[in-house]
Amino acid sequence: MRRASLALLMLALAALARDAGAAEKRKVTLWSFAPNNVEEYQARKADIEAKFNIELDIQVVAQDAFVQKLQAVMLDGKGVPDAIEWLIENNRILNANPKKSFVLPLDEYLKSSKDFAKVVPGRIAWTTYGGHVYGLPHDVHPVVLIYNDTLWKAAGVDVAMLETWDDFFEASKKLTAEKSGGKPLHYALPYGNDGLANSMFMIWQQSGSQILDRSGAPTVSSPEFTAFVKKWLEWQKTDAFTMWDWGNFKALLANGTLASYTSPDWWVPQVNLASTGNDTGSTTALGDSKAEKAEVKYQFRVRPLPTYRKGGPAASSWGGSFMAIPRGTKDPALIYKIIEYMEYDQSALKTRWEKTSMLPPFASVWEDPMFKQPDPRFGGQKLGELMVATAKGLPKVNSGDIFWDVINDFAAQYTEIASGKISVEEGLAATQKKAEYRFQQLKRM
Amino acid sequence: MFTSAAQPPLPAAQTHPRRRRGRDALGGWAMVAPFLILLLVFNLYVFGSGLYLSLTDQQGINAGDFVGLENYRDLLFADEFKAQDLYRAIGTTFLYTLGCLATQVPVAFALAYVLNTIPFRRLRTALRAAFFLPVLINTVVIALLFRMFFNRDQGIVNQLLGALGLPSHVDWLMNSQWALPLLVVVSFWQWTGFHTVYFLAQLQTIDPALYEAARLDGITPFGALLRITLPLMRPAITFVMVTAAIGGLQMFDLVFMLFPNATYGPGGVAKTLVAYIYDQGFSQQFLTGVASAIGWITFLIIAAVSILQLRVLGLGKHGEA
Repeated sequence: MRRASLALLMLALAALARDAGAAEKRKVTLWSFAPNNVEEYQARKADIEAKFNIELDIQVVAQDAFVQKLQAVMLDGKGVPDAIEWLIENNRILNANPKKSFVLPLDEYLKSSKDFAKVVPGRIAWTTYGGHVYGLPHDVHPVVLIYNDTLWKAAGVDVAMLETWDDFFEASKKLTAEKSGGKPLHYALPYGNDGLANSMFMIWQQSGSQILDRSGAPTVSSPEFTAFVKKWLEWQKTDAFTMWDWGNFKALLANGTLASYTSPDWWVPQVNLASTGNDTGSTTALGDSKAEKAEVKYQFRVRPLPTYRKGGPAASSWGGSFMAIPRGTKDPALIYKIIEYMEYDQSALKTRWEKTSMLPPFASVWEDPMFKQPDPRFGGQKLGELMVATAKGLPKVNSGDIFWDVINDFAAQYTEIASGKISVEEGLAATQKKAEYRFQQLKRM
Repeated sequence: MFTSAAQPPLPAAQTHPRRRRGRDALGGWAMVAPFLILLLVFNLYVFGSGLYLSLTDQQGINAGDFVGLENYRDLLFADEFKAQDLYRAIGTTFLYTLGCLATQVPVAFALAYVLNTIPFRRLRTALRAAFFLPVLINTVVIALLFRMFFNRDQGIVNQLLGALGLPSHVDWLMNSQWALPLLVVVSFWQWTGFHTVYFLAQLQTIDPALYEAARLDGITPFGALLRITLPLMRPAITFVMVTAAIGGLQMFDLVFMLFPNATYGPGGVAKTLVAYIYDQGFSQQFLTGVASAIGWITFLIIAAVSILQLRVLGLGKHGEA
């Protein structure tokens, strides 16, 4: 009887100890703006929770409200997430001065991290402000050229043979020659006509011209950037561009209006409807798309970007996200370990490509056979291999506090330049003047 | 309140008149208390905290220090770029507002006048509903619809122009000359019906006997419009003018959504005052203090314009509500 009582007591104590352990589990909240990334994290949630003995709460926060919401909770001091996943581009939360940044610099954790050392340097540049690294990049987003081989060949052009963008736009005159009501039936590239955005942003990186120098000072009116803008305006006169239409992109590809586009890995699925006749409603950074069907009329192919100048880089990137730790988070060392595991665990890196078609930012996994699979959307071409090759040559862009403001200021001038109201030099001088003012303001703060 | 002569008289109050008045006053205060509390919390507190913020250099997640009137001084004259942007935004906002008033109010009045003469009640009701329908559609949806209509390559506007043999490659959304007119056009489509319904309601309150008497006196239809309709329509005209002006001066959602990538039109030509607040407070460097100062400048402008309109249009005179 005494033994039985003792055994019962032991069992009760063990159960209590287990419950106490469960009660001690720390709740870790992650805010992410990207539903498709969250799918990956949800699939690995149990593993992450078990590894760190935490309760992981992953919340999707609308992209449009993300920064405002983060600012509100940080000012209030309540409900601040332990970690966030946010846009690399136009992020607005990083600052060269750590006291003004929404998130903590990760420098002290990175020193002892073996995994971070493997991340592609070109990617880290985007989350480095004033020499501080603030975020762990989730992806690489190398850009390739996807083209409708049927339409281009019908116009007498083999896109695979074009070397530079000059060659491409010259050849595009043949593609756009067929017109209806004075307008081309097929266009060579989409562009929003809104400054250094989408296609222009991707091709600009190949030019090697910088918006800021390494110290973060503006260089918008540099001869290199001036030459690039002039070149771009020349290309715009060729009738090659149609408006970048986010909502109808896949339909424009399927009906042949759009014959090619520069695409990072996350935007490749836009071709699914046109190349397979079946779009299963893949998720993109912009949210879910509906399942659609269309007649397959064209053969699509993929190739590296033409170069800006002969022998120049054929690589650029567009979009992306990073994980970071908001200021005020308790035990940031633990949170760092969690986000590093979420971003760079070997199993995660492979899942990322399989589930989201996003190339992970680790060169060490790029040799995996899964990146060498033929892709039926492009007649069996190996998209993964091409993405990897492109990712290896990513240009390094000098980012910094005023980078996205300067891009916006340039956009404001660009339409005036493009419409001929002001010269390229005048527009860039005005942008430079405002950028210098911003830079000086920054120094005073 | 309507009472029938046949109803028995109400029993006389038994309590002392002063005590009754006190109880009535207490009851009145109790009735308005929920509203007053909400007003204090959500209006006056926000006003006060906004005013305080405008006197600080708060940026992003840093609370900032008290800087007095520095933000106002920078915005009004001391800081070249901020002042330039502010005066440009004020100009844009006024141009847009004037454009809206000049197009919406007369057309709404004319439509209401015509609708009021339609003898078939069902047709009048159907037309009134049709005119009012755009008001029920979310502005974001309207902006996206018009963005599609005005798309350079795929938009229906250019297709129609092409079919008529006119230039059909116009980049409506990316031409700085067209930005403000486009906003006025979209706003016209959205709000004219609303004003029409209001005018129509007021028109229907005018006693037809007045027109009958005037006709007997030999007045022409145009004379009746000038001497009977317009004077009696003044409360509605004033209401429409003031609310349309306030709406115009507060314009944000349409200008934010109509142009791609929240650029406020090519070169930012359509950046209104409220868009400028958003731009400074939430879109760029999170200059909350500066944004609050612009907010207060906007408030003062709207208050001044509204008072001026009320004075000019004379609402409140002759016992009008």
